Amino acid sequence: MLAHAQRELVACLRDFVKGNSRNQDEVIKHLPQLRKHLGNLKLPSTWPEDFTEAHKAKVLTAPGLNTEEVIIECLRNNVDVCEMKIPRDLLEEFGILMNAQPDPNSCMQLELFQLMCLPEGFGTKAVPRNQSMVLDVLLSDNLQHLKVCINDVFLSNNQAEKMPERLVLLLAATICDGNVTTAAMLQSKKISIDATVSKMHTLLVTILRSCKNLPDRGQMGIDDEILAVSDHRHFNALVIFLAELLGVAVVTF
Amino acid sequence: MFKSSDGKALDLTVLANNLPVDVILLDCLCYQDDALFAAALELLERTYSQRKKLLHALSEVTLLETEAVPVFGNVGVMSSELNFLLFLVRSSGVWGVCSRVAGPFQKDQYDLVLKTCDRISKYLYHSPLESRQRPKQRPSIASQMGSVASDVKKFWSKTRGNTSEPIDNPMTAMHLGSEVETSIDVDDIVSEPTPLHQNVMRSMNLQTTLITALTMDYNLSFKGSICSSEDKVNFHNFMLFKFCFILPYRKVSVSLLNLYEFFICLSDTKPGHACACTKGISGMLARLRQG
Repeated sequence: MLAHAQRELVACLRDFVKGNSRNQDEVIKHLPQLRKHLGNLKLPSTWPEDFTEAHKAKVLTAPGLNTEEVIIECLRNNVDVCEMKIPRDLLEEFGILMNAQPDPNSCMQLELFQLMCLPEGFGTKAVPRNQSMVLDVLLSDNLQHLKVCINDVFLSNNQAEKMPERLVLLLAATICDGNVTTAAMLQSKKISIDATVSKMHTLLVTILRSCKNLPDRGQMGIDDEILAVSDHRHFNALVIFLAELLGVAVVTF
Repeated sequence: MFKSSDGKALDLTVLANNLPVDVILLDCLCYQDDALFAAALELLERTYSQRKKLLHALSEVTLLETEAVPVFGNVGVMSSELNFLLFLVRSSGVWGVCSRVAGPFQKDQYDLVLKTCDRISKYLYHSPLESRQRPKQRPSIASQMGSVASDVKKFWSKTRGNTSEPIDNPMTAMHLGSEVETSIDVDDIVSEPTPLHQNVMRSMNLQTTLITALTMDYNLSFKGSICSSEDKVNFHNFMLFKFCFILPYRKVSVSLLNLYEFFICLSDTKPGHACACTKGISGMLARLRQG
């Protein structure tokens, strides 16, 4: 009962902070309270005396209060909050939540990591300290499922439809602005320019095969080819990632 | 507040006959006397932090051209509703549970919380009045009163009886008109929250209410409630489903809310049906997502 009322109030809180830096600053002061409600609803510590195991099994805990969305909205376009007010253990907590999702690529927690690296999106200033922290959390050994998903992008031959483009964009965000440290961390996990180019090649072949209505490859100009694949968001994500990797390479040399 | 040069009479330099007060105070800081040091520092701090405090207080103010605001009608109504929401949030342990101490569950208060949340949400996503053409004639305050205002009035009349004793609620100071919901055009709804309205809400201290809401104990029904165990589970789970329907499919949520009665009926008649109904609702949810 109260959980539903609380959800509605939390939804109001999300709208209250959305895109308003002063409101974001006001609410992020209460991060500890927001963190208490991350994930699903918590079961009571003590049950009523007449409560049987069957009753306990019936109590649902999902969905939670959705305070994750409030935290994410507090970070959006707010560089100061991203730089100063987010502790590492919050990222780890979000990492655990993301790891528990069947498809981490589509979960909302992923956005927090992206905002931590690039509070104002691609093409704006990155936060180098956060980039290292985010990548460190993403590649940590206790988030096995997440690790497998990231490895699948570059080290397996999965189909284009299953490509987690948001994860690729997140990796791109971690090396944005020529962050050599994080690029080296990725390199140590065999996520390099070579692996990306190889994956792009595989993906490109798949995409071109799937474009049944296109004329023969011989009759197509370069522009047509680019046009044919430009809509493919998975490929685009890899292009962005490669561009960032090349950006780091330019900085290095 | 002050007339002509009254204000100057309170100026520290004038009070000290134009002696260098700052130098004297700094000198006082050098003595090994804790009380003197504390008093001198306090006076220095008070003298030089006035502007900062004034600027801070001014930055908390949001000026409106008129008292009319969309959705709520006017600022007075909005303020009273938000204050009452804070009261409801703080008293959730009374109305949100069926217990020997608090009595039966009070659905009126629960509905009022949801209704106020809905109005806050509508207000945040409403285009500002300044950006649109103003009406030729300002509506009277009575016609601007929303249904929530009358709900608040009903609540107070219930809890206070017929006493004419004044209560500490701004709603009572106003003449409450007919239950006319403030109409909202579809064109007035914007895709992103309006910054001005967010600022107004901040000035109204909405953040305190919403943060306080996080301290509500949603497991309260498991602590001292006099409902049967089955009722506790059903009610808890129903609210989860209600939420599932409301968030992504706000438009269809109203009709789906009737599922609650259906769900309770089923679980009351045959225990196994509750589980079957759960699956049915899950299936329906999946179909809605697809379609």
